[in-house]
Amino acid sequence: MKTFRERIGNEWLFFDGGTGSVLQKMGLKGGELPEEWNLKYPERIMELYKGYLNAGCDIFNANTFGANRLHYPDNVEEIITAAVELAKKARHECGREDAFITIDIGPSGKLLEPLGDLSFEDAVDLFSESIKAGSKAGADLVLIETMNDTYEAKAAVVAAKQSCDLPVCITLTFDENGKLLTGGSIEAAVAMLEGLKVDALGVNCSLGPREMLPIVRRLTAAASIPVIVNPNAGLPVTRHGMTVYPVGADEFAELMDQITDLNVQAVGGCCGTTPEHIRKLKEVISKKPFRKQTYKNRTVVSSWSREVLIEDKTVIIGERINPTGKKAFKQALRDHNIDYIITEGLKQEEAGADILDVNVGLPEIDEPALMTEVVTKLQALTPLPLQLDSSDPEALERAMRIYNGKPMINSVNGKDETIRSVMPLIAKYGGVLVGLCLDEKIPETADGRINVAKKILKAAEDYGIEPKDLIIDGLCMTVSADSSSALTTLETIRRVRDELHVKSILGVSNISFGLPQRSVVNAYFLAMAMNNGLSAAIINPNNAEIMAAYRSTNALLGKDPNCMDYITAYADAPVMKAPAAVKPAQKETADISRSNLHECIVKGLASKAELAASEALNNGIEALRIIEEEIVPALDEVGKGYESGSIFLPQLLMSADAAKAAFVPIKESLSASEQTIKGRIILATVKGDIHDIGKNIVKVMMENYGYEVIDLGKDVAPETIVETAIRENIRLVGLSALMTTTVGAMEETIKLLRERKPDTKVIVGGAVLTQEYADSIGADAYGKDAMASVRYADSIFTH
Amino acid sequence: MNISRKEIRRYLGMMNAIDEETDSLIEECVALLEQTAHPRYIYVRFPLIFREGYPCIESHMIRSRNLADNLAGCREVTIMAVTLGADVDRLIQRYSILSMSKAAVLQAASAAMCEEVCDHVNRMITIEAKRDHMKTHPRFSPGYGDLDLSTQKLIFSLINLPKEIGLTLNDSLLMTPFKSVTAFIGLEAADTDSDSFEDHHEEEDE
Repeated sequence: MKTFRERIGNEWLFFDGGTGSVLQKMGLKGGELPEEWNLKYPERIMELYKGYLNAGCDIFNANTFGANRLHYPDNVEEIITAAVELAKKARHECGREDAFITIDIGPSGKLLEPLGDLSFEDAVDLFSESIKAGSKAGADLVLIETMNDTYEAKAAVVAAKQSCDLPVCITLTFDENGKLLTGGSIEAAVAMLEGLKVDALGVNCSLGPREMLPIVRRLTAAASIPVIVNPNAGLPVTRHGMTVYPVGADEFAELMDQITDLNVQAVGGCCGTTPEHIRKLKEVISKKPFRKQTYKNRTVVSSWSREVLIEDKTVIIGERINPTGKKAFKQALRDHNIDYIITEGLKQEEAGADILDVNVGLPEIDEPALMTEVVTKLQALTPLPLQLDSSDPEALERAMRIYNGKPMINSVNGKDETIRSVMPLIAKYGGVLVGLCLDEKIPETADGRINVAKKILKAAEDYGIEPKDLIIDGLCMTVSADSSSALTTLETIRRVRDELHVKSILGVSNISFGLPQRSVVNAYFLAMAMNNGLSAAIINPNNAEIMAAYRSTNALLGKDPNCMDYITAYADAPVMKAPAAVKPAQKETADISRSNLHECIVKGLASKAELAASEALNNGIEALRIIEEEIVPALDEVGKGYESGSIFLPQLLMSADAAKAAFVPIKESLSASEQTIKGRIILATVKGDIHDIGKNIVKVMMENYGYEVIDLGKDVAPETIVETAIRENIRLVGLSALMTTTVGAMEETIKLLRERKPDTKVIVGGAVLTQEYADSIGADAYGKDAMASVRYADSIFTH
Repeated sequence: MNISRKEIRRYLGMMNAIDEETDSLIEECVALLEQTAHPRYIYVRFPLIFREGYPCIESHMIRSRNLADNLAGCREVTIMAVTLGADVDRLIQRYSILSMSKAAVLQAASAAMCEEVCDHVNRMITIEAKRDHMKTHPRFSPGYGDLDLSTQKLIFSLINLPKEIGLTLNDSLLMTPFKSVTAFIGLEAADTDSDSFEDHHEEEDE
């Protein structure tokens, strides 16, 4: 008898139909867990299975869709074992030993961190437990279905891969716009799942076959592996208060006939479909000639929501999340200032990056832990795919595991040890791998570099990594050290395209190292590289000259139809000035009165405030003077207006944003000894509460008023707050809670703090709190708003 | 959908204060929100009985005086759930880092938008109830009065909200995505003299 892997993708295969809707007809009540019936009414479950087996399906689901420890804390294994045992019995009694039993895995019902409260690893554990039980009981494959979040889907696939050797199929649930409920797109999901090497993927539930047509079209256009389509029997309608699915068996089969024309390899049904639907379906479809899935030679990386196709047009990879040569960034890494790092990412997104490089390596930090933390937070806030950049294989592996998509990986080179440590990760988790054309030394000629590239391609083949998932770095070397280096690099990337037929990448900014006006050289070199077929450029998208070169070159190379991108970007832009090739005149005498920084802050104009601060610095005004004579008085004016009720929260915050923006160039110009702070404060939203807007408002205000904030985030355990206060010797803790139900956790935190660090003061705030409430739980102060909190901090630290 | 600017200003504690900068910030945030939000909803009707004076749905008793008062006289109850989707959470978190003023205004605007969607869904429920000769009571959510937040567990067991609209419940009984509402709407037999419909045809929702 043929195995599942021998059959899927090589012949028509038929899945079963709805489970829940069939069980409801047998008497399943609202709020009752269907899997309980495996123990309670085994004969009914047998009837369900036999109905589909006799209808002729090849694959049928053990009744385990919701069988996980969240629903069955005490007896998951028993429930799953019973489901599979009954399935084996039904298969035998129907004489259908050829049919395959799935361990059926549905969503956990939880949203994953950081948006929800289930951690990725807890999700993997939860699914692993169920999959192991099903595999042990004798299921033939894992079917992960009805997933509406790519991240949870990834957790389930990772769980399946690490728990057993069974084939893994997965079907996701999209809405009519081709979006997952969590916002993900079809193409992005396909990229991620193919990278994870599932055996087949597809779509189920939520829609009927008619509504699924456009989704299936997009699925089969993107996928290189077999596609499964299991629709509902139409969109549900309510008749006399009952939910019914309107598409009958004949109509269903007719519509599925059209669906299979779109190059689908396996079909079945979901809610509302019955054995009769499957019987009809098989009758119609099995007569049709079978077509295998076509291979798609697409180089793709993805985030949870977006795929980035690397083909003819050069894509931009933002280089700014990288400590190399950046004082402030290094400090942020040491201070564990994640928001600073995230901000660097979001700014590049707004400037036009397609992908963000993430490198957080510094000798003195725990890179794997920090990489994981940054990737978790960044990927929740940006739709851009990430390029995970590290020389530490452990940091790469941990980041790849929790990455919500198909990442780009930077990098491997021709040395055997990097090949051995990095390539297995790509084979396991998927990704597009950057291969540097160097081994023990950097080849000086294009011939030498092409030879290394060939070695990398060969090694990739041995690990089962396809050429489309490799991107070769032709090495950009400093032109000031070797005047032929740029030409060598250009020849290399041209030959990567023409001789090796794979994609290329360059870290463009290296070219100008050691030269003045570096962005001029970078911009010209980028244009030349693009003309030589560069597929991806690692650059600084915040740099206007580089982006101008990029957009112009695209227009000139015919890669910007009707010059639309160019026109959109520059139609209303002021005339750009090239740097003058003479030394600028001596700086004028510093004159602070000409600065309009004060006004910009009061009016809440963030970008103008940043510009004004930079100008003041350029005019030679000392940073400390700008803070004391401009920023602080402006903040005070706004703060007092807020306290007197003449201005309101949005204006207060606009001014805070403007001051924060002004601090960016100022802090960069301050030496370490000048960076004085008034004091250090812990802020946290207490355990059980996930509302953090109030806490974040206080944070931005405190920072502007010269405090360093240790932001512990939301849902923070009392122990974490107290331990941090002790370790960092903190004098003031600010706690936030929005719900009456979580004020208890606030009280508990205060109690623990009193016990273990009695000299620390506590200020509390949040919608449900009042002065009386604050007194009753033992707080030192009640912060009725952000200004009140600042004033209290001032009273603690400056008196 | 028309998100009430007045509501947004009220959430921001501004009442009737007018300020040009804030107004343009509000407009910018409303536009961002309208691009980002994917409001989804579901509502399901259940038979309602009272036991020991408390409402019971599918044999689950809800021990809340206030809900009992709200549903008094009803033989059926509709449970509705609304969410603006996870993208709104992402958007607000994003601006909590980039611009706190936008984050605060987005927070207020999304609360106003969520109310707007609830009103819209409530209206549909009322119209459908009318066709069945019933009138609706004011909607009542877990957390109001003495209706414990743990009632969310019951609601989530009666309707598969994660699957239907991507709404989940966390361990502290808070819903994620954040901007979401669940509510009970009681259905009471209306006075047959007014608003009566002759035909009793088959109703289909979307």
